Amino acid sequence: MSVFVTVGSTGFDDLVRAISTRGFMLALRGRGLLSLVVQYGTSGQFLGLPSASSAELGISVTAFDYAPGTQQYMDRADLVISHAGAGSILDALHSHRPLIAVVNRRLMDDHQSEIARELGRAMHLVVSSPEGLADAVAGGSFLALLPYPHADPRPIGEIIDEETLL
Amino acid sequence: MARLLHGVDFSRYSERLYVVGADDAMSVDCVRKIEEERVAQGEFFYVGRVPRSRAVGQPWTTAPLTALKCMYHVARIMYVYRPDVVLCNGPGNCVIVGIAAFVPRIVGIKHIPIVYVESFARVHTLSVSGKIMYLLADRFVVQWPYLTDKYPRAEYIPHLV
Repeated sequence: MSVFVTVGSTGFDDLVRAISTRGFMLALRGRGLLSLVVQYGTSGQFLGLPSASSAELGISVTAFDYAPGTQQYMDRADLVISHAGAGSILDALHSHRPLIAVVNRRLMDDHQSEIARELGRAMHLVVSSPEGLADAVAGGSFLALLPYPHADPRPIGEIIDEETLL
Repeated sequence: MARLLHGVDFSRYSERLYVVGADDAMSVDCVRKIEEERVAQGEFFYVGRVPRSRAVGQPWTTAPLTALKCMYHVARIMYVYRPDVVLCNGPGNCVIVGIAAFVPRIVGIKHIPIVYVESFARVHTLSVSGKIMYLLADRFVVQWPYLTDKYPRAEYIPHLV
């Protein structure tokens, strides 16, 4: 089984650091996640993989800075760990994969954590800090997560229709 | 915006003008993808590249100058293409577009309806663009219910994206 980690279009040093720890590797192994795919953006230098611990624990690692689209990796993953950006969260939710959204406290504009928390409260994803990630992987109740409703943007079309008919 | 446009009938709105930041290559790709996905026969879309009204991190003291420059380019495009309706969803240029669309109304030339959709990421507070557009938009859509308390004109519509 595989896990896909994505930091988004810039970087997320703390997240990349967190997935490079032995604690995280053990958590993956504990859940049978033996394949780790990482999109690290600008945070490549914090990636301590492949390391002795990942090889020793039998976890294969594929890592790259960017990909044209993350959809294919999400679709193939059994667990998605993403930065808490709205677009990434929505992509993961619509791919119907269990999702851990990791909040970046270092971002000046921390309203990003609002959607992660709301969606966490609504049981659509698990919210975690980078430090708490290993615990979230090991203990997260992914089976309790609720599927995310399909997007229906037709009301926008209707509103535009209404406004142009007036 | 790409997600929202799936709800818009392109055969009805057969000409689409996208106003994009001049340095924003990603959005141009996004527009291309949006248009390619829809079977568009004999329909038209245009991409208007305009300088940003304010770059990320740019000091607010210099913003009026760059905003004016942006306004000039936006106004020119709007004058040439004369849209029947404007749909915007957030970033800085959207306020300039909103103002440019509002002016013909004040001057009595044309009433161009403005539909604003606040970002899905805004749960408890409006963005700066949102606060300004709340005053200009004919329809103001929010994606979280908490915003309707403080902004009674806001229409809460879930699951748009």
